[in-house]
Amino acid sequence: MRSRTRDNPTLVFVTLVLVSFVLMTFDVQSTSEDDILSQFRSGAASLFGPVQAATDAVVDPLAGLVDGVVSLATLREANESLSIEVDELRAELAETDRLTAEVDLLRSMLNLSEATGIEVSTLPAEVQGTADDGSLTVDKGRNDGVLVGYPVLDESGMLIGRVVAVSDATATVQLLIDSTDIIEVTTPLGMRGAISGLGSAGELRYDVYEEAVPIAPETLLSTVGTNGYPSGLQVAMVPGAIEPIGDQITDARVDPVADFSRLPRFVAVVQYQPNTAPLDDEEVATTDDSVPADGGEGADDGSEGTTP
Amino acid sequence: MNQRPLMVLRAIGLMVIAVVLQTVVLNRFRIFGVTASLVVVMTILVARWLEPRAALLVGFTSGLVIDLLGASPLGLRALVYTVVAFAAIRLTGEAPLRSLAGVWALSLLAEVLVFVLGTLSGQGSLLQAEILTRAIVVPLLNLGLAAMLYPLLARILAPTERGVLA
Repeated sequence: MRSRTRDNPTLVFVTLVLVSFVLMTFDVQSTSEDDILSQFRSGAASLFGPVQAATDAVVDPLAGLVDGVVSLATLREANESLSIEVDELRAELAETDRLTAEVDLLRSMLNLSEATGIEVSTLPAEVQGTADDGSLTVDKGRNDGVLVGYPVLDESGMLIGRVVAVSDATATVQLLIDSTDIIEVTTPLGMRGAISGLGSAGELRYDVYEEAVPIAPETLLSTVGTNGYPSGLQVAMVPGAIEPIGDQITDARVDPVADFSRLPRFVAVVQYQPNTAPLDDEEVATTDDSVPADGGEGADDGSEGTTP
Repeated sequence: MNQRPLMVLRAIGLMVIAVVLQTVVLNRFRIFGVTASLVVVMTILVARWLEPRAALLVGFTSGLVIDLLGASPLGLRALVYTVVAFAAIRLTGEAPLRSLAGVWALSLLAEVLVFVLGTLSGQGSLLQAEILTRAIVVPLLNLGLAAMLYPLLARILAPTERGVLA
């Protein structure tokens, strides 16, 4: 073992430090590529180059193997991570598409007055459920300005029923097909009649008050503007020609224009204020048995059948 | 040939191997973006068995070769490794555990000196975010490397010790 007391390295250390500083200074100040230091570098590269190349030839496959193993594990983890991310993004995309469709639908429902051509204010509401009697519960109630008697439209602006009960946050909508309410309607040419539900999907009862004329297929029946409904809401369509018996049309069958075969996700509550106060529950009950007194207007040309 | 020149030759051979392995192998494998510095580890460890002047010359030469093979100013690592070798001679004792502890401390010193001198010579900046990573990770990597190499160096440079961690 060496003796540190006899072998003082300080002088060597200082010398080497000075040499290093000189080399650094010289190298930093040097701008020529042909100076002696550059030649030293070139010589060192020539000396070590073959050794490095030979070592690299041996090590490279091993390093590649190690890299491969490491990369394989890393790639597997990355693959799993990306798969999870893709699934999450797909779910987000689907949710975004659904929300976009909802926004479009709600936006169109806010503009139902344009679609129906009737100046009404509509309040979109989401259907929260349906009762055994077929009535719908929607998420808008008294706090949102919903009142009993307000007509309710589907997404397309077709009449589907009316509000029969409200709470602070919800409202109950009785469907047109289940209601025995009398809805006064008119043909495009002004022949008035009444429609009421039969309690079964797809059919409504149709009676004409006045002297009736034949009605062509696909004639649309719209509200007159009585019984709490604004004028012009499309209610039903005549499926086939209706011929009067004598000059009467009673207990005929027409199809609702709204699609009752599926539960709507959204409806539009028509915030319609007729000249009289909105109907309350008692009035609804009263209206159930009433027949509009308004006789309406007959067809001047003695025929009916204009289709829209 | 007596034992001292033989040990010096062995040490020089080990340093050449270390330089080649450093430039060809170790620089491929990066942990947190940095690599272990085998030449620094060897400079510190061989100082335990070599005469001080020989240890200084080995450190200086190793650093000079690294400088020649790289793009940093010639003499930068020669200076750093000379300082590291001198500190190793002065600070690390003959106990293996003390040598290993010295590897960590002197590796940190080497990293700091490289950055300071590199900054002074326009080769880098002390504001680099890498400095902190290097100062933390490189000494630890070097310590691990030293723990693995110590028995081998003890067998080569001091066959009588057989690399036993006392």
